[in-house]
Amino acid sequence: MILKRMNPMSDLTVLAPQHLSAEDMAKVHTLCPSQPASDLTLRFLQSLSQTLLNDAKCKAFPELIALGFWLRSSNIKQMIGSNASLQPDLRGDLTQVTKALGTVLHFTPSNVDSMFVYSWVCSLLMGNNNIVRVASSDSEAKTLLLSTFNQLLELPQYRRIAERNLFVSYPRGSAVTEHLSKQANARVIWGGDESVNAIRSVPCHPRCRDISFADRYSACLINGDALRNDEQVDELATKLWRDTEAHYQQACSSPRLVFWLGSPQQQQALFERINLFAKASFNTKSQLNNHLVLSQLLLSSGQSYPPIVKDCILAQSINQLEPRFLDWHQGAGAYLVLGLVTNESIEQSVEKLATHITDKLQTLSYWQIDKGQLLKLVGNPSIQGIDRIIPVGQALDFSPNWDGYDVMSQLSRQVSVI
Amino acid sequence: MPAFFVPTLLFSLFFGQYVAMTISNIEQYQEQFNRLLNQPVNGLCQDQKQALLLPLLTYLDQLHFAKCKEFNNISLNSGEVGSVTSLSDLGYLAVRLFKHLELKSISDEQVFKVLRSSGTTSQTPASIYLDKETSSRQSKTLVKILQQTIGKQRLPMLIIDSPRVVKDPKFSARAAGIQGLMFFGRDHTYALDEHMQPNWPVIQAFSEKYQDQAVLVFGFTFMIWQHFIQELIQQGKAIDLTKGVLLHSGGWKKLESEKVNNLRFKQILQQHTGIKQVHNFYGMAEQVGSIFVECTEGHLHAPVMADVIVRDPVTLLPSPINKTGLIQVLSALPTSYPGHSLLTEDMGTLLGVDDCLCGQKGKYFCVQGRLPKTEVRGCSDTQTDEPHV
Repeated sequence: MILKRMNPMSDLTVLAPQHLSAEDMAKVHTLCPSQPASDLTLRFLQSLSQTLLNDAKCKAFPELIALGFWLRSSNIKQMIGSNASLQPDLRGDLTQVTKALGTVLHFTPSNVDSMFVYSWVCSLLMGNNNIVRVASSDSEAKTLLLSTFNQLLELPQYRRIAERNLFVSYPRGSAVTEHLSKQANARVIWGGDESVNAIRSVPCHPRCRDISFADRYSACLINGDALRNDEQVDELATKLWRDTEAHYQQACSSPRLVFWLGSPQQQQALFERINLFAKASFNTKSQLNNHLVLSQLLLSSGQSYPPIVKDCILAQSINQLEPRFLDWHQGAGAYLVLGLVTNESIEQSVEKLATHITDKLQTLSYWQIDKGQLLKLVGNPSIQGIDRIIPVGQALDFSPNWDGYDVMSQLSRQVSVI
Repeated sequence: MPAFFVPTLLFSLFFGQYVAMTISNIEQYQEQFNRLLNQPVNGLCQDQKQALLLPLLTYLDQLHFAKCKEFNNISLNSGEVGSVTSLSDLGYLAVRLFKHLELKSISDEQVFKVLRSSGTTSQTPASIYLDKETSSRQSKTLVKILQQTIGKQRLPMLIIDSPRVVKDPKFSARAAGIQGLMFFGRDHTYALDEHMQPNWPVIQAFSEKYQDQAVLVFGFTFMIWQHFIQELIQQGKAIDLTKGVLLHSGGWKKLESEKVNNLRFKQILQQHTGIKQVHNFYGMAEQVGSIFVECTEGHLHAPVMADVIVRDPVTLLPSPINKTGLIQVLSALPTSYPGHSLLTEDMGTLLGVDDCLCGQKGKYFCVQGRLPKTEVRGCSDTQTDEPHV
């Protein structure tokens, strides 16, 4: 009996560029990669930035505007400029050349709609060919993003980029993952721990690099002593809300945990202020029910107190952070508040923070804490978490240094000529 | 002071005659529960019923407060102060807690069985810990309630499901539902085969054998619609079960998308099977036994050992008649787990009290479906459509 081999590409759809097909995708890894930071790539990214910033439809999606802003040529140039691997290093007789890896396969997270674009752009800048598996659950922002890609990639001047950058979708569990993994020089894997492990267990090219962005959570560190008046409360509430609102607090870098140092006097006022912001968009019956469930779950542990605010947001104090508390967290405006109120100075409290930081902590945003103290804190060898420390309000700003990776140098190779 | 320390409550030993009553130990509780079981299931006016139910539920509140650490922690901090003078004063647990916590008020040795329900919308199953006493109360209550509808005689029974479901070693809520109902029938016949396809010869033989006799037909609403009625329509078949009584449960969510409501369900069922007597019922794995059965007017009724309160989804205050909200269910049965007062994720409407045209007393209501599931989104999402291999 002859066994028929199913063509794994049969359940694959090319979402962008629309004029290409699965057959074109099968050829991507055979095409020559590009020069890092080529003029064509820079022009393309500039067009993408302008389209996102000028398109009236994008205005409704703060994450797309933020993306358009991030893609401005001044920012991209700064990124390249600050990336040592792109600067020809001519020291005496040592010369270094940065080259693309080849073909990079991206697995995107299901609903943080625009996050995958950032790692794709880093890869594109390094000259790689890219196949991006877009999770098929649809959102308006994602649909808009893909139609923008289509619009640009159809233009004749971007044909070279279109041939080498495909956005595809296929059902989970498909054999496509294995087929593509064998051709890829690197895989960028966004997802929950289980999904990341599942993809990493798929055989790949022996020299394939995996860059995994798995489950993380983030925290905000607040100096309560530096909240003296309504203006300061208002400023902090606005910034904390900015880090919460986009993606319904589902992005790994949105703070779910609040470390509160110093005086708790303004806690109530701060969260009531945030609750006012939340009233416009975080008010569905299901979200309120999620808050009730989380509140009762936290209370059941015996490590929590009645909510500070339980309305459109939930803010509830905890005595200590148990890992399951974060599993219970459903996003949509919930803050676990861990007070480190002591009779000591803020400086001493910051040092004590080390015992509460797990390896899953990704971003620490801060309000009115001395940078020197933060450097000292993160330098503590017992801390395995924290890949990024930024002022509150900037938690969702992507930087090519993400989850502790320098994404651009990971997606390229440096060749030294001695 | 938390709600459950109120020592004295009204209790009715005889109709209309209220005396102060406190239940202070499990023996007294069981004795009063047995009395409740002997009351007419849907015959008491709400005032009389509340007077009987309240001391039992207040005792359960105290019992679980003393025996279940998690319940204790939640109750102490939920900020409820004041005395419990009516059923709506009782606190409630969000039903989803059973998916995340092992809530039990008994020792591990006393666990008789664990009921696991996966539900339809979540992967995490709820775990319900039963001891022998609670399990027995569940069976007795179910008997009492269903005998109202189908009589005391055990009828030949057609089960619209696959025998595979009950063979599954995992004790699912679906299997538990079928097994619970099997008690009310004899000559149990599965209408669907292992692949959920109608087993026509078996169905034909059943309908011929019991022609002109009362039979019991049971299944889950969606299964009946999808794997039985739809198949009858597509195959152009009709079977004759004119004297059959159909009991079904499980919710309308999947049928809503096909624009099938209760009335249409009944009409089409009758066209193809001749079944005229159809009763939907509402119940949950977290409160097995005390189910809410549809009357001849098409309304769900609260039986004497249970009750229903509709709450505003935002303020969580009790909603008046005809105002849709979240359904809270009360049950006097569970001593092994703190499930006597639960806030469900189902939306419903209280339609009236004591005045249903069917003649039954107490509260009657309808269920309008579940809260829309909030998306679990983001990097930590493992439930939806992530790349997965």
